[in-house]
Amino acid sequence: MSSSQVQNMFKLDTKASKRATALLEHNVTRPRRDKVSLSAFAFVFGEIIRYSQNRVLGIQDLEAKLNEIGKRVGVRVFELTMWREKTVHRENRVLQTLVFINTVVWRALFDKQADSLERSTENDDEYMITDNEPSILKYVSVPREMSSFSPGAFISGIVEAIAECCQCPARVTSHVVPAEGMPLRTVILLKFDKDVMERERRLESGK
Amino acid sequence: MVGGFTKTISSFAYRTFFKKESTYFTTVVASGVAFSIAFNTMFDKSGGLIYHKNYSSKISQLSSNEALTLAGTFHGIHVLASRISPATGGADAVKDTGIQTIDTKNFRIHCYQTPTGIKFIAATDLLETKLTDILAKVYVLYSDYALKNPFYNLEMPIRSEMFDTRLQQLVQAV
Repeated sequence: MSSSQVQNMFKLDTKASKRATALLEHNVTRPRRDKVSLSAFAFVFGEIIRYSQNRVLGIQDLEAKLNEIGKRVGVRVFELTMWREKTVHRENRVLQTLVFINTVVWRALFDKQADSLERSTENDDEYMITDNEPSILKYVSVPREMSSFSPGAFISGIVEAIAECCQCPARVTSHVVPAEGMPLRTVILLKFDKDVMERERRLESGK
Repeated sequence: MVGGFTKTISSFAYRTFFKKESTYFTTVVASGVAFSIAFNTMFDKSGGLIYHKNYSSKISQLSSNEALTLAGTFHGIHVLASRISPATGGADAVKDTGIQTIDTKNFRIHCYQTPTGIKFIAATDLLETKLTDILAKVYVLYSDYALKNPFYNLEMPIRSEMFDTRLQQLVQAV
């Protein structure tokens, strides 16, 4: 190999590594302008489900696994939003936590607010966050024999982790509730722990 | 039966095994026997049908077996057409794209082949002269709603409600 060729190779190499470091050295405080392509995410998400599917016994097991993966994402999302959103302070009241998830987290993750936040009419400790069109589930269609499976379990995992980080641990589940023209409408149901509700009551009366 | 319909499309999509096929192609050329071998093996390796749907009640319904046969046969003649093309003689000639449309007295079959070897076929009446744009859109739907669906296995029939509804919308918009 001639020396010029070697030099050329070397040049190419440094170019590539420069590009790589530039990508890796992005500042975390950079606002949300960097977006991940939905297609790329859809492939990763699909592969997560496929991978998990071979390692579970049933639908509930699969949901639990997705929930677990979501939790790991949620912890990191929480730290990142706390770091990026200078105006937000760490919430510890139930309602403020919910609003934080509903607006700030949803905007950071999906670039929009969740479509509704409601309190259950039956139980005081249950709240529902509804997303009419969860963008990460856009390409998912659940086969008929698995109709009880809700791919939103991943989102509920994220929510569960964030609720826990805000000192309001809750059991979070997701349910697909299709509506006219919105086949993937997903309801995230949060059921807060007993001591959280008790603490709420104490804080309320102490005001 | 066939003549009375307007704006009717029934579409097929099937996949061919691209890599295997090209290796096969070289062997055929080397042995110099094009026709007889070509037909036999093609039928075995014919692309499997992965989706079939009728969008008109006015045309005769194909049974799933007939659809499979149609897909297999079409695949065969499609490949054959691209092989016997006189334009592929030279060393630097581009490989022919195969059959694009088949005309009969009453209807026309359109074929759109993707670079990866999937073929989308639509049967329409004679008023539709070029369906490439629409079939390309079907390809987009396929790559979105079939390939990105975690419950879809490659080479298997597409069973996705989203794909069904999107395709329905697309056909209705035509």
